[in-house]
Amino acid sequence: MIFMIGGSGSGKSAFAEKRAEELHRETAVEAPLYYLATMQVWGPEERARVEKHRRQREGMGFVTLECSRGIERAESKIVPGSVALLECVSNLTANEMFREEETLNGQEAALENPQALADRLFDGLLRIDSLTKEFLVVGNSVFSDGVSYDETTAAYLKTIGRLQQKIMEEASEAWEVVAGIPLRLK
Amino acid sequence: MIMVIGGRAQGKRAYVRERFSAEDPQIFDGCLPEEGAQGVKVEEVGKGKRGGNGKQSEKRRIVVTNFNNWIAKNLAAKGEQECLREVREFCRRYPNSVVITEEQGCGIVPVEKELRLLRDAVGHAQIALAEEADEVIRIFCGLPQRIK
Repeated sequence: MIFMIGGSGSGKSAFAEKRAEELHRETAVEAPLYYLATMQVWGPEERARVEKHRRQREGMGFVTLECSRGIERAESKIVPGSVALLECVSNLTANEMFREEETLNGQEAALENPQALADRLFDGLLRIDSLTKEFLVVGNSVFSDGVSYDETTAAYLKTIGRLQQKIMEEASEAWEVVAGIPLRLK
Repeated sequence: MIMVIGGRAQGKRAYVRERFSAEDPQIFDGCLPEEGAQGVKVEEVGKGKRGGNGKQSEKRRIVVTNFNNWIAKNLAAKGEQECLREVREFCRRYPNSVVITEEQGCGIVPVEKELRLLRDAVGHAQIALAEEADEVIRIFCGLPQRIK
């Protein structure tokens, strides 16, 4: 597992996409290069964001697998030995907690036990990791704004925090991206 | 151009003061030199001299503090692309400048749309600055780390 983290607008996606493409080329695998998309489109703003990301990775050879409704939806489609990039941890978590039909379950689970939810999400990531040759995960620095949030958001942060610690521990390579500059953490 | 980036209250300004005050730089707070000449607040620090007649020498060391505020002030009127263009133009015109900017993208996505767009625009402007910069210093808990 390879972990990339940064704030919003830090350039972490562009870096992760470049690294994924590079690894796919280096490993010279026949299997595809996947982009596991997690963003749910609620309105024009998300649509524009998704479009921007699509344009950004155009021509890089990514096959997009939609998994905003759970990572398991992508799992069955992944060809073993491929390279995959999942973006991003906070959407992955939000989809679990704030997904329309299952919102309450996910939220309750997180409120009751953020660690258990993080562990469950991490198991999903581990399954993708064992399927693929290289698995890159994009995380989010969302912990340093000094704001005290409501209980649900606090549980959301706790879940992401725990999940990212597990990813970092598992990762063989980790980067923090600051103003487009990748800093090697591990 | 030298870029200094870091979170709030991490010691960015202290670092710049320590390293550049001997050069008696001209300080532009939340604005770029051209606007400073047009009467936006320009604060002269360093040795305390109030120099310049509004025309900035492109050779003299200048320091732009609170760069983020420039984006915040200009984003709505100019749009992100124009802001980015002006930022790059500034960097090329003032190679002898120091730009201090705050990392702001490390929190929960704001509820207000304007704040979301601003946060992204600040991030993108910082990427542009870093690309143009000869040197990028990141300050964390007062500790400067050269990242470019």
